[in-house]
Amino acid sequence: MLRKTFLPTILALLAYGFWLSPNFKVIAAGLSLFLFGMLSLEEGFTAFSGGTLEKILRKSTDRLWKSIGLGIVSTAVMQSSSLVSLITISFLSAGLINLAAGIGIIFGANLGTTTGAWLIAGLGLKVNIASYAMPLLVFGVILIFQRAKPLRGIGHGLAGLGLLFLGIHYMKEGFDAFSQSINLAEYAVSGYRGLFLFTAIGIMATVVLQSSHATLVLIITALSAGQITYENAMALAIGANVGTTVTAMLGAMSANIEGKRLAVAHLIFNMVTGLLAIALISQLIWAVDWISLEVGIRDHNYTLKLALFHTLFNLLGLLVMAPFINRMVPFLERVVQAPSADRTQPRYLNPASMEVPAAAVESVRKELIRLYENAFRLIAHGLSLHRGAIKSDQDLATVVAQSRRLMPLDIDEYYDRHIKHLHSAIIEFISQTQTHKLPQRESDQLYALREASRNMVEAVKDMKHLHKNLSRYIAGDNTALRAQYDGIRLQLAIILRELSNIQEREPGSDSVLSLDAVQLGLKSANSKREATLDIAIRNGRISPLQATSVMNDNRYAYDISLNLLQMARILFSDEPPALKDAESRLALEDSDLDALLEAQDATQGTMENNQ
Amino acid sequence: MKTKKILARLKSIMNADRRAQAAQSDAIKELLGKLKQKERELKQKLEHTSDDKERDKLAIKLAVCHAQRKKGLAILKEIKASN
Repeated sequence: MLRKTFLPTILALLAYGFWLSPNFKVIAAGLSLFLFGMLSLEEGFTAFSGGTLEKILRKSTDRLWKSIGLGIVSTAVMQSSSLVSLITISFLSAGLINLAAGIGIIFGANLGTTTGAWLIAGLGLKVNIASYAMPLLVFGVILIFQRAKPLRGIGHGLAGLGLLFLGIHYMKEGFDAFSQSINLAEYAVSGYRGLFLFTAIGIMATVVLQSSHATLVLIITALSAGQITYENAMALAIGANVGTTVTAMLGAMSANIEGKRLAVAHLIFNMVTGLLAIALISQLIWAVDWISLEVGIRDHNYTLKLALFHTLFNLLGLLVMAPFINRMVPFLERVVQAPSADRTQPRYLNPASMEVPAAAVESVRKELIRLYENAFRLIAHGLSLHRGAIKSDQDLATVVAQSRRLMPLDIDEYYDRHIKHLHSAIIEFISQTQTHKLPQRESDQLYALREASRNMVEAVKDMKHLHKNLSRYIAGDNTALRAQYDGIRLQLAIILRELSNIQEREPGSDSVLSLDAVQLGLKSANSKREATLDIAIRNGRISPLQATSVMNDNRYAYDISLNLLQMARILFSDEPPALKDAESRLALEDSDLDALLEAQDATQGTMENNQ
Repeated sequence: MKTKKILARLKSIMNADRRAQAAQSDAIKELLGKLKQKERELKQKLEHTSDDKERDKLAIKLAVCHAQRKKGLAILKEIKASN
């Protein structure tokens, strides 16, 4: 009920306000332009996500000071701590950065966002920025209509900046005209009562506007027009800082456990900073006055002094909290606990990752690796082999010969719980992500990953068929038949070991191109097995009925191997996109491999004849 | 002459297809370099291995590596010819 009536009430109140006061209309329009400008600016920056932004984020978070520095710089450049928080949460959710790095970025972003106040107070109020807004808007809109994505991104950025400037201009105009009719400063409340009251107003304003930046520009323009007192403006700025965490908390609701922890860290930081600012308000005012005197800010230039105050108390918060970042990680892990690890539930797929294309791709890749681990387990146990033995250096033929005890496995139940469920979640996530505007590269990557998921499921399904006869003949009395199934087990064990090796290889070493050799080996082994089967049938050691089963199962094993290899080519290629493309062009086709096999057989035949 | 040169350079910058093709051939060249190195290593290993099973494995790897390199060189030739 409240939710249904909230929006109409707000709209009606605004309309009434516009009718009452034209100045209020100008201020509200200015604020709307400012918020719209921020949206456009964010749109502009997300146009570049999928490349530069992610690369910078990934490479600059290996040390705490780097993470903090990155938070400061990126927020200062983008002028949006919300965008930085959102990207950080999505990267954390995708597992691209760790929690400590995420906290560092968020802490840094709090300081970086204070540059906005300097820009508005230092430049926005002194220069007629509306005159800069016009060309920015014109150039921006022309670029938005271009086809090239980077140009569109720059266009959104320029138009956003133009709208920000225009918004500030209108707010300034509105407050200037407003001050001639009403003086809001008469409602000022002094002392600690005022401090708490205006902090609460600042929190509420930021929650409504969903942007501390917008609240701050409102405070500064109102302060410059003398509509609020310097003292109350400081309290409002503290409130805006605390209020901004609500945006982060809302963003983290859809994030995974790491994203939630980060949001709690953000809340702690801003609460502590806010409390420190309130507790040390007199000392901070003294420090602001002293620094202002030293750097030449005039005594009555309250807007610049407010910007200084904003920076100072955030810096204080950062200095106090930064040493605790590493200790905060275990604390957050204790307080915000992850649900027990469940192989059946997706771990990385969360809506927060969908917002940043690279994070979405990485989330799917990580989830697919979990699916692969489940599939590896199912296939290994289906073959009655231990995963440890497959991944070890032991001779696989010996391992297969020695593992004759059937491993208990309800393969249908395992498939339903550990494979089908995850696979469906991955497909659903990819479909939903495709509805967002995705760059072509990420869209192609997601398509390829969906294929990899399908390959894995196909392999597992074939394993289900193979398992029926395999479990029957693995410990049977017919040695010839057992040898055939041991051949199948060995072939699949070799594939699993090769996949394991390629998955755990050193970066920059063997590429997925080496899987072509595995496929050729597979073809060769398969044709040899078919030859031995023919001999066994001719000798009467395997009945024709049993032979058809072996043939079918050989086919299943071959298909499992091909699907696993195809999946590995997509999932385990860690090269940059250009090299990935080159890899796929150099990979050998089935016909190429057949030709190689023929050539190999011919050489072997000649050698045997010579002997 | 100078203007012509500048225009030609500008044209090549603006020509996204050509840039993409150049990036592709660079990537293929990089891979070919890696494959050549791998082929050399495999040949050396093959010379020093007496175990038949191991020799078979190495021979397969060597044949595949060689075929991939041949394929890559053919693609590079094709790109050059199309330019």
